Amino acid sequence: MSPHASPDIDAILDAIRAEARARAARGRIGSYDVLVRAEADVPHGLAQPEAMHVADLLALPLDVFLLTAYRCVLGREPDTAGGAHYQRALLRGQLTRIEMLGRLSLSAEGRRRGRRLPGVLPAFLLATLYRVPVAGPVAALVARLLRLPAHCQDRSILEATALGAGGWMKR
Amino acid sequence: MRVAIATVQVPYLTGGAEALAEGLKAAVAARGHPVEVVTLPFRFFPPSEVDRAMRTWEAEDFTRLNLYEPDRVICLKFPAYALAHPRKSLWLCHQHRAAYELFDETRKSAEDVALRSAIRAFDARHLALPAPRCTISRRVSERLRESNGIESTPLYHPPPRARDHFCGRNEPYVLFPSRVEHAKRQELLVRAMRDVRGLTAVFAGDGGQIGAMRALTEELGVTDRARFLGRVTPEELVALYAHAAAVCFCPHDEDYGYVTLEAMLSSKPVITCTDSGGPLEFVVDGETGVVVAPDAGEIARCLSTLAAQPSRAARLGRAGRERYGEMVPPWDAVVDTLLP
Repeated sequence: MSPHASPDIDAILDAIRAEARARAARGRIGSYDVLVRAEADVPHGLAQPEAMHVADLLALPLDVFLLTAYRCVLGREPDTAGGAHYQRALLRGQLTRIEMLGRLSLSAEGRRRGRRLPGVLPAFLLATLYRVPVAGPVAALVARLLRLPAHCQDRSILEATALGAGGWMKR
Repeated sequence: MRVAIATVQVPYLTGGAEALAEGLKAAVAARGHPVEVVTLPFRFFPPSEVDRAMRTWEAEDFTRLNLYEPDRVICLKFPAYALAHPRKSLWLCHQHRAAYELFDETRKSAEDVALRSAIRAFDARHLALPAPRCTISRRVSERLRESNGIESTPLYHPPPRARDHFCGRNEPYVLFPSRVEHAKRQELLVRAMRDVRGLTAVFAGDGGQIGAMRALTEELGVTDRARFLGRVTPEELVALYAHAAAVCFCPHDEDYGYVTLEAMLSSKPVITCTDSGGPLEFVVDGETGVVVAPDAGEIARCLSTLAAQPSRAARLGRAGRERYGEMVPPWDAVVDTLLP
């Protein structure tokens, strides 16, 4: 069901509270909702979301990610109900960022607009598969085992570069 | 010029009058004047305590405070305006309303009736003396004229955090921000919600009636259309105004009402009632909001219409923002009037 179809007042109020907390903490406007209004606050790269790579998009802070995901996929700012729905789902671990991007892309509005972010759809289908009872966890385990050699190599590179020959090995 | 702001307070009960005193203090200080808020606790019960408070303030001589004396005293509330000082300004928040329009002769004792007479005589002695003699609203000036025959000048002022308010994206709720008390009449909106579709009533604020209001929403079967947030932070309040589709404020005979002004600053239409007092000075029916009879059915019809006509609601809100600019002076002008 689309989160925009039936506004959830509790989600709206949660989003408003989050906006207020951000204002209080930062002494300025802070949430995805108000970022829409305050272009001066928009971080570098958001002005042209079409130019962003998915990896960069996934690495953004949560509020900025929400705003940019909507702009990239639907070409508009998030409505408060939809933004709050996804914000809550992401914070609670009910959705991954890839799944949110996939859902936006496959929504009626997303299909009409036809904007596809490269690499999102296969990752979304895989993430969806992982949520299938029994088969999902098995598939996830297999996928992780298949990725294990690459992880080990990454780990070696990390130890050799970022961590250097420092004391953590001795500990 | 050394300035004292004289007032009273019921300890731990913070409302508009306390915000006004703080706002005035900040505005006077910003002009470079040393300023203090001088306050005493006010006990409204038993009647003998009110009598004692009158005598206490009549005995106060602000020309003899040891070391530093104020050059000007601004008096805000009953019975602080009885203090002695040759240069007193009055900026009256309200009289002791229990002795005037809120006095119910049918339920009062002989002691209450005697106290009422004493308060009226006290006001007659002290309220005509200060100069300038201002009140916070036209409604308070009207009451002063009607009950005591004393003329005064309404002097409006900005609400707290006036600069923070903004208009955000409208969400499907009507905001009622106020202490939850009988006089604020949240009950009207709760009852109205039986017939409202497409909007939720959001009540911000706590108070003695919040439990009763929650029970009423359950009794009426409108729990899905009402939310009681309790006390909210100032930032939350600003954000709640910013995203509201409309603001409902229908108290009984309010003195001034920051809610109206905060809604106007947020470019939101205000729904108020024909007997709401202060808000009626700012809300022009059909131009900056809607004025209806204090009746749940009327409020429901009004809200349903606004919900169905968002462009009209937005137009009313914008007009309210403009009217605020025309009507409410900045703090600097308030200080100029009170410190002649």
